[in-house]
Amino acid sequence: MNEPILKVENLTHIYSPGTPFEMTALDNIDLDIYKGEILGIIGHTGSGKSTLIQHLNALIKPTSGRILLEGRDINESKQSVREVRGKVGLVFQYPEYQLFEETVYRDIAFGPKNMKLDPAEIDRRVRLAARFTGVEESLLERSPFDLSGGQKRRVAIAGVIAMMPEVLVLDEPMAGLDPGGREEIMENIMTYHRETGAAIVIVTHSMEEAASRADRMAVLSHGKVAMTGTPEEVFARGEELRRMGLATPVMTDVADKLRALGVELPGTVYTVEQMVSALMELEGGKRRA
Amino acid sequence: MENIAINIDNVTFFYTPEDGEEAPRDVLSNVSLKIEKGSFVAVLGHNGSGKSTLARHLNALLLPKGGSVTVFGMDTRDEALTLEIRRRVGMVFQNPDNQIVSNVVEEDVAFAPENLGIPTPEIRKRVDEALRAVGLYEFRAHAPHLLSGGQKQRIAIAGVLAMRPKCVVFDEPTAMLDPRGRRDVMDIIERMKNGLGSTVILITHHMEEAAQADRVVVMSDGKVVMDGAPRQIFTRVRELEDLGLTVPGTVKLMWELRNRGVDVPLAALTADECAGALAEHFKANNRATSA
Amino acid sequence: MLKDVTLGQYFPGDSVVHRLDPRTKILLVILYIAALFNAESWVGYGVMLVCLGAAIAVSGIRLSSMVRGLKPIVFIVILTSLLNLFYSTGEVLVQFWIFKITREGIKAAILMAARLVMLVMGTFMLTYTTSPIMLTYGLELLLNPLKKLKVPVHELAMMMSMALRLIPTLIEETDKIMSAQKARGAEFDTGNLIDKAKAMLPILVPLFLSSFRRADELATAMEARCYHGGEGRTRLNVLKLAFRDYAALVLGVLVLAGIVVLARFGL
Repeated sequence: MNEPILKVENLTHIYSPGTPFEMTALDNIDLDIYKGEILGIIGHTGSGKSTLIQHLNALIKPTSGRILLEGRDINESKQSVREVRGKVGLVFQYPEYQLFEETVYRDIAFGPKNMKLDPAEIDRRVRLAARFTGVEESLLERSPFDLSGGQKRRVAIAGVIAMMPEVLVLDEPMAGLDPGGREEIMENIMTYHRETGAAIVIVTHSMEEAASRADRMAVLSHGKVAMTGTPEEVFARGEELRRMGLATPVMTDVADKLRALGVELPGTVYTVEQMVSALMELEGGKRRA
Repeated sequence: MENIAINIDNVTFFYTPEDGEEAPRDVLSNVSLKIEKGSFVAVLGHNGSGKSTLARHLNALLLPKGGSVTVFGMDTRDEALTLEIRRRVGMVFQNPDNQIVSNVVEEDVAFAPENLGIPTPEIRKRVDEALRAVGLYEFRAHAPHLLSGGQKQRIAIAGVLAMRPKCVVFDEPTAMLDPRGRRDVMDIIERMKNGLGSTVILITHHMEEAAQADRVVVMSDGKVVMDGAPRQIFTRVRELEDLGLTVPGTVKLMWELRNRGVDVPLAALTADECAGALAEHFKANNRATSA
Repeated sequence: MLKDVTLGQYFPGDSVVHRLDPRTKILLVILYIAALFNAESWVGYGVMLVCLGAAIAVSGIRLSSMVRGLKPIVFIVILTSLLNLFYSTGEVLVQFWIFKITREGIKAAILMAARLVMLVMGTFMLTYTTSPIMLTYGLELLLNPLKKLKVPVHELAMMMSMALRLIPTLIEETDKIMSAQKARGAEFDTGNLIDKAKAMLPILVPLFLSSFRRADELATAMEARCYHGGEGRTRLNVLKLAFRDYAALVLGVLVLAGIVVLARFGL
């Protein structure tokens, strides 16, 4: 794999240190995010996921440890903080509740404007971001508050994409949407990834979605990185995941049960497609015989 | 009619337009459903299909513009019966943060019985009972905003159970929860149905949750477009996908296999069922091969 | 950052102060404030300080929490003290430019600061040891006679308790929106006053919208749980005055009387 764009080194974060409410949210975390990869971060509520991703663009400062963006500490100076905000885009949960401008166009332009880009470049980026997220040209002059839930979500994501981040971090980007809306958002994110080569970090507790898209996964538990690896490697440890309170993809469950019933399946199976091809192998074997 | 809990008869609903607005679109058009006592009905549909609007008709939060809704024999349009209807049909909403009224768990659970004018010792009994039912009795003196989303949603359920309703409507109760919270809420729903014999109506986007129901109703553009047992509904894969919905992963797997000429049953609503059917098919194959 | 706000904060506990009826505590605070404004001398203030200190000690609330709560009023305390310091007439001790500091001025400044600090700490004793629900319930009961004058006592109390209920949620929400806008490059601490005011817009608009949405959903949820005003409502926890309440009230009245008498003798 190529070199990491973001490097998290020995990151520890303690909330309200020295008070009765003291809580260690992150405990000595090491994590690399590589250029152009899709990383899925999974973990139950309270595992430290949100605290971790807010460190990635200096919204929260580490209690100890550092975060390096292309080798430089992001918390080094005011300038480095500003720079990381542009290079690491962060989409929070339910981002549609952060829309505030009079028009969709102006809301998407908020980020690029804060980056002090010239007007022509801002315009280019707004239209590009709108295209990536499937926000039609005709919506740009509308008020964001007149749109449907799914459209609002896409506008909010466009607002971060317009900053053209090299790492796009999304916290539960599909939460609360219907299946059609979930699919669309995922496609939007993938379009941005394909066309710009940006790294994508998706924080989710939906195993199915993490499994089908991620190149690599990191599992957080009690403020520590419990596992990293390809989805195959991670889902091969189904029992551990379940012990951490995480649901495994339903296809992994089916595969485990099939094996228990004496059907031999190759390697790790965690998506419907993989299961189909694994079973077609068996079926093919039978037909050939 | 005796075993009918809720009778939705030809209901039409639209939001009255403000001055200058164009004529309204029907949010519900000619919806008819009979919901049996003690049944567990899941309602599916894409966003904007009218599911939540329908739900709000069941406890007189909204009144039909055409047709009628009869709840345990009471017409929701009769204002004198509104409280009677609401105490029988409890409702749990999507966002746990926006339905908790108190800074103390037990005070929150007591809210409905207090409104109903139930005597103090009886409220205490009901609150304790409801909190035990959702497994949060130990948290009775806590502040709800310091609990997890799943715990908050269970408090909201306890607040509804304290009314001792005959029917509970859940409007996407798990949409904002993590897998653990979701499982806890679904366990409670299962217990309510089996243990208490309550009628349960669950609006959801999660097909796996809907698969646990006795009956699935699918809505689209303000109309009921499918209605039947989960097994019947989830095997209509194409139609559901055209409506912007999905089917449980296990059904999807079977469907894909059948499309490739593998002779497996389509209806497999759980991992166990799916694995069982597949094992039978492929082991039969193996036997056929070795024979 | 906003998590330090102590407004409406409640420290659960089981001390005598916690167990007093909220009505008793509200009345005691009123008596305490009346006494504080009648105290004129070192002796009077000394008596009040002993009362306050005793209450804090019994309640088990940590002094550090009390002091932390004072942060927002530090500016007001200093300002009023300075005004008292420079604008009193009497025996001049120091004089420079147009300012003169008098013996009376120093006394007035110290007593004014003490009065403000003790006033705030006294009211903290009420809010720190009484849950917001109990506080509003107590207020509602105390104000009940006003219902005869068509004052919507129940509605006011319900509004107050809903506001208190939403404070933690809105604080959390504000934090979240601020972070989200910062992630889009917004800066809240640069530029002049107008820039700073403008920078608040991306926070205030979403915050207002979400407050309305929350209020609306909350109202629907309350309706679904059979809320229909104060009529015929019962309570899970019914307030009953105990012996300790009467004892505390008698003590409170005695202290106020004592302070008034002391003031009469110029003490």
